[in-house]
Amino acid sequence: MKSFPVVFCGIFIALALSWSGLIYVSHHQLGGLEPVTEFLDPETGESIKGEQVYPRVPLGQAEQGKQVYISEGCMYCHTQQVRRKGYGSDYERGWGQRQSVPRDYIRQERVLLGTMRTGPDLMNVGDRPISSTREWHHLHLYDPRSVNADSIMPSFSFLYKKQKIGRNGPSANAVQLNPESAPEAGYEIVPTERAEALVSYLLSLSLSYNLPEAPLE
Amino acid sequence: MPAWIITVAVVASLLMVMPVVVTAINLHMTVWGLFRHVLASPTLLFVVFGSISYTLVSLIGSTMALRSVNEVTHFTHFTVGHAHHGVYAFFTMIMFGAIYFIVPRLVYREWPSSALIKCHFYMTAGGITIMLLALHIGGWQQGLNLNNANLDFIEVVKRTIPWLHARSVSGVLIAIGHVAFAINFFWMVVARHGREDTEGGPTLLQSDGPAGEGVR
Repeated sequence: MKSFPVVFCGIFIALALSWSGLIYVSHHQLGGLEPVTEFLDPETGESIKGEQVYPRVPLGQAEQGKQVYISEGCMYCHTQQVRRKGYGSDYERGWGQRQSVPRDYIRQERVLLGTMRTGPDLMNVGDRPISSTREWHHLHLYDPRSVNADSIMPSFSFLYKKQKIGRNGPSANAVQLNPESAPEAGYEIVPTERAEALVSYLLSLSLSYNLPEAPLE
Repeated sequence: MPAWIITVAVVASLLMVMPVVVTAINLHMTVWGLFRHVLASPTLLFVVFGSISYTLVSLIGSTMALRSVNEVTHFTHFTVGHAHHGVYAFFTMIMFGAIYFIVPRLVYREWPSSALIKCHFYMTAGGITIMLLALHIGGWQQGLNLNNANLDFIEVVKRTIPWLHARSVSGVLIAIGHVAFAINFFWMVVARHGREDTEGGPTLLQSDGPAGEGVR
């Protein structure tokens, strides 16, 4: 094969170019991003130094909950990326008061962007009024249809256990179920540790902080 | 991801149209006017179906790179449909065609049943066509609904369900086609059924002109 060196060089240059473009240059551009306390004042356009460091990372139980989120495959139907205002309807749907930017993800070891919105985006789920309580999430995970009759989300009732109500009355953390999905009298449904962890993780998901490059709108 | 990478990718995706059109002209002009032969040959049936799919999936893929189109199709079943278009309607169908050509030449035997071959082709071709129509139309509609903030999210979900039912039906058809193929294949290779053909000529679904000439 006489033209082997030419073909080899051509392929090498093509691959090298796309590698440098996609990996090297974007790493050079974004690899140096650091957590910040500053945010942009929407009125004056000045950078103000705050107390809290952003983005925050899920810690303790919420961090364990992220593992549950991964192992239950939530990512196949839920994204964690918010489009900018005016592109799609993410802003109007309350999925975030601003678009998500690269800095939002820099402290996550595993980024769960997702590609499919069979269900709603969850980047800001912990801050949405409807889903900001533990009780709502437990009820929704145990029996999605009791929250929304048309929901097609699978039930995660296997993350909960049924037990006899003790002598001191129902447990404090028992799930408040509708009559249709409630167990027989004398029994109650309580979350396992995995369910508690998952709910902590979901509640930790929030996009309601300012970044210098992405102020809340 | 820096925004300029996306812009470069849009340009690159549109540039892909050129080699695709060149390949498409080559592929389709080769069989132009020879449809009688295509219908007679299992290999050609699958390969021609696959090459038509190649042209369509590539052109749709380039279009999907445009920001205004992607605003609708991203995050929806349209993307899922596009993936099946490439991997099944193009690649898998070409591979089936290749198998129908290669295996008889390896085992010196004809395919035992032309009815099973026809069943395989029409079930898989019909099935994947239904799936692609359902996912593309349903996905496009889902994207428009998603971007319409006046429509509740649950309403968006509800309106995708009929399309997903159609997708289930298409999956059943494709599975039937695969079973037909598996029966024919094991019949020939394991049970050593099928007319022995030491010359290694092609299996044809119908007589193909005088002395079977033409498609070899």
